[in-house]
This record gives sequence, C-alpha cells and structure tokens, in this order.
Amino acid sequence: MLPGTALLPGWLGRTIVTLVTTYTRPGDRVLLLTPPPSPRALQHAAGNARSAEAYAGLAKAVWTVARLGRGADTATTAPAPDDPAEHTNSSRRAASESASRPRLGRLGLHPVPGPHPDSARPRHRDGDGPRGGFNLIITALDPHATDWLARTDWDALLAPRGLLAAVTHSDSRDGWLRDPHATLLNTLGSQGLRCLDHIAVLTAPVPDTPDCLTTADRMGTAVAVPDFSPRAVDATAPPLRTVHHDLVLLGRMASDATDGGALDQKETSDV
Amino acid sequence: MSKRTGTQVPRPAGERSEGPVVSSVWPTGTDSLTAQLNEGGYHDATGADPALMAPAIAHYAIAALTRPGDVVLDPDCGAGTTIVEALRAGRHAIGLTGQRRWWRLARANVTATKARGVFVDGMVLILDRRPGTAVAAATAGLTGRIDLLLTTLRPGPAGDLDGALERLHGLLAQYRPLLRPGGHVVITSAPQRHPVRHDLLDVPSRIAAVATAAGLAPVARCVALTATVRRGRTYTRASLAQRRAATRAERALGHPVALPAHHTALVLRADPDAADTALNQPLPAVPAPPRPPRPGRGTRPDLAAA
Repeated sequence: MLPGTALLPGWLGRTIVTLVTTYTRPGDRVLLLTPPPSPRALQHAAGNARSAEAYAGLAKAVWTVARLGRGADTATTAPAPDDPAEHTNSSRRAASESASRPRLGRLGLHPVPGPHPDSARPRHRDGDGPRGGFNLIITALDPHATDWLARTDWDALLAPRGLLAAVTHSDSRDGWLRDPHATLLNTLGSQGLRCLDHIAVLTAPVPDTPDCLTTADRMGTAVAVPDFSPRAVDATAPPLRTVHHDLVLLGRMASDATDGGALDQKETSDV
Repeated sequence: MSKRTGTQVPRPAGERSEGPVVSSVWPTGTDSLTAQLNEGGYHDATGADPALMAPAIAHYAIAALTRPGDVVLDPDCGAGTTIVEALRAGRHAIGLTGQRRWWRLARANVTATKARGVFVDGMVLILDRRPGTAVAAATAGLTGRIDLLLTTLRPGPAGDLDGALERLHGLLAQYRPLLRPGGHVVITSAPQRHPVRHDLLDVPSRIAAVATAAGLAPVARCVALTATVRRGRTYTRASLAQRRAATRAERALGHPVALPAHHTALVLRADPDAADTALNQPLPAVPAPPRPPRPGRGTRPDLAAA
C-alpha cells in the first residue's frame, strides 16, 4: 500500500504513478474514474474478492497524482439506469454533484464523495479549467460489468490527444473465460479510440526459472485435486493462479507524426 | 503409440500429487531465444523460423497441461520446437507442416533430440499437411487421443492477419476431432501492430473467436514472458527491428510505446457441447489422387462422374 491509501493495492498505486509520469507532464489533467460496482460483480465477489475490491481504491490515488504536479480529478461512472441504487441515492448524489463538479455530472459521471475532493486539484494556470478534456483518464474494468463503457461520453472526457488507461483482468466462470478485451476495444473503437498498447502488470513475483511450476504447496493456497476422468475434466479448467492485471492504453489516432521532442524518450516495456 | 485408457488414470511415480497449477504469467523469458535454442541443441537454422515458438514457452505449456505419456500435436509446427520440447518432456509428439523446408528442419531437430538419448515410448510423426492428413490421423486411431494441441499463429499466405486467422481456423476445425474430451489447446501469438496506423491489433481476441467457432472454449488468457523480470524490473530482449518498430509507432502515435516483452498464450479446451457434435460427424472422404488416363482409351462416363 502507498502511504495514506489504505484501499489502494500497491501494484495499482505503482501503476498509476508510472502511467502519470510516463504519459503526462506537469500541469496536465488526470481523471481517476472509478467503475460502478454492479450487483452481478458484487454477487460474484462473494467467492472472489478480487473482482469487486481490486479497483475499489482507485480514487485514493488522487493525492499521489496531485503530488506529481498534475491536475487530479476523481469521479465514478453512472450506474445502469435499472440499478436500484441509482434511484435510492439519486437526490443525495445530485446534491453532491451540483456542489462540487457539475460538469462531470453532465458527462454522465458522478464525483467521488470525499472529505476534500477539490483540495487535491492544483490550480490551473488559466484558473479552474473546463471540465472534460483530460490528458489521461485512468479507469478500471470489471470483466463482469462492462455496460458502462458504452454509456460514457469518452469523446467529451478526453482531450484531443488524451489517453485512456483501463486496468482490467480476465476471469472465468463455470470454466468459461470472461475476457473483457474484445468488449473494451470494440466499444471504444466505435467511439474512435484505438488500442495503443497492452501492458501486463504483475501483482506477484514471477519465479525466475520456468521449471518452477507452481503447486498448491508452494503457493500456500488451497487448490482442489483435479479429477482426470474424462467427464470431470470436461467440466473443469486447470487451476489458474492469476498474478497479473492487464493495462490497456487507448487513444485517438494522430493524423500526422509528432515531433520526437514531445516524448521524453523513456523506454518502457509491455510487462 | 501407447496411450492411457480408462476413466481414472493412475498417477505416474514422481508426479505432483496436487496436479499442475497454471500461472497467468509464464516465466519463459529467463534466457534469450538464442540461448534456449543453443541449450536445446537445435539446428542452427531453427532461428530462421519467423513464427517460432520459444522452447521455454512450449515447455511450460506442455509441463503445465499434460503428463508424461500424453500426446501433443502441433498442426503447424514450423521448425519443430514444440515437438522437440514435448519429446524432451517425455510426451509423444506429432508435428505437421505444409512447407518442406520446415519439414526437413523439424525432422533434423527431432532426430538430433532422439540421438541425445531422449527415450519416448512411441512414434514421432512429421507429416506433410496434405488435405487428407487429418483424415489419415483419424483413421489411424488418433480421434479423441490428443491431450494438447499446441501451436502458434503463423502468417497467412499473403503475410496478413486475416489470412493467418483463416488458416488457423482451418487447422483447428480439421484437427479438433482428434482432441480428447477435456484436452487442451494452447495458441500463442506475438503482439502485432497495424502496418500503417501502428495501433496494437487485438489478435488474441480474434484467435479466441476463431477457436470458439471451431468448437473450443477459452479458459485462460496468459502472458508468456519473453523478458526477464528481476526485483520488479523488466529487462526486455527486444531486437533491433522491434525497437525500430516501436520508435516508428511512437512517432506516429505521439505517445511512448512499450517494447514487446511478452506473447499471449490463449488456453482453450474442447467444448463439451461441441465435442459430441464434432466426433459424430462423418469423416470426409479421402481425396483420391487423380489417375492419368490410359493411352488409347477414352474416359468412361461413370468414372468421370465419380
């Protein structure tokens, strides 16, 4: 955990710092966009805390981003219209929205309630800049709740040369893979965003030698003994130890090549 | 080729009692590809295969998803690293390739491996991928006997992605009935960028769609490292060509572009719902080679119709 970020996993905090320092410059605007917790994801999370809680502390990194000299904003995406929580909390949310960031509400977002959400936002050179037009949006995507992607107006949120960084992961249910990549890229591709990079974020140490095939004993976790009878094998997938998240970077295609001076020539890799 | 039968398989002596646990990140980048080929005793020309599956990646997939005595099939084996690694791990292996150049090289690699004392009870076939090869394999008793189909996405005839996927779909549809119920398929792919726009293509998702259409169910999307990760730092082994491509993409996109450090390994299994359908389908007829007409005789109408 990073200091002062109790809910923010260490790997996510380091990823946000790397994203901000690699793809933005001081003075740029960064939005930490928390995805809505869907009832389906919460139900699934009863047996797998990874899905619902891994990205819960995304907005906690606002202080970290602010300390890097970027304008930091936080928001949550609007829940689905048929979400009961939307109706019960609509009045309170609307009040909070109008008090702090009305422009985000117009974009289909809700500000994250916090003790001093605006104090983390450094002053812009030209005063309080317009809402939207972020240079970098960092969000997360639960593989079981991807509907909000299509409801968000990414065109209004992103600056013309802005980047969207989506942290996500694959999951399996009933032996079937739930891979959000195709949905993510197809949905945002219809809004003119293309995949610029796919980076694997390691959340646990990887053994140095390929001979170290992990077993239940070495991991200290309980893994059911697989039954290799044909019928049983049909219904089960091999036990999978997930030790990474996927970071997908999207942006609009540049019409012309940019000068190399805009880049800091920092070398990165897709792991 | 000996093969286990029955529903409950006795666990070989020395095998893990818990069964393998597949990690979502495969630590397969400890050594460079050149070092892997040298250490594995591969033929010097093996590195010329442009779509070569790194021996470490093949080894990890085989060790994680099969057991000694199982059968591994690569329907597009190229220079044969998948076949050699299967043999070295004590698995039976069948490799197919449609190009005589790779056929010779794979044979040479397999022969060299066996000459170094690899004892595998069974036969190793490098078949020319003619139209009747799948039918011949099915009639030879391999239907439902393959434990792991391990291959990589190779460029299509014109070097384009669509052609490569179409070719892969043909291979999977052809050899899917050979996979035993519950058997696994691993398809690896290197990151690819659009040649003009330089954006990253979502090749794994398209592979998953192609495999699903062929009656396979994706179960995991893993990262096969081609770089070393030590103390939280990644040391890439990007070639000069890859670095130049990244630089071009950076100029075109206007943003930093990451150097390639992993391949994607898509793990699939035989879809139980599609398995019965595939196995119950009648085998297509073996195309008979055309016979030259005998001199001095006309073609009979009934033979011409057949």
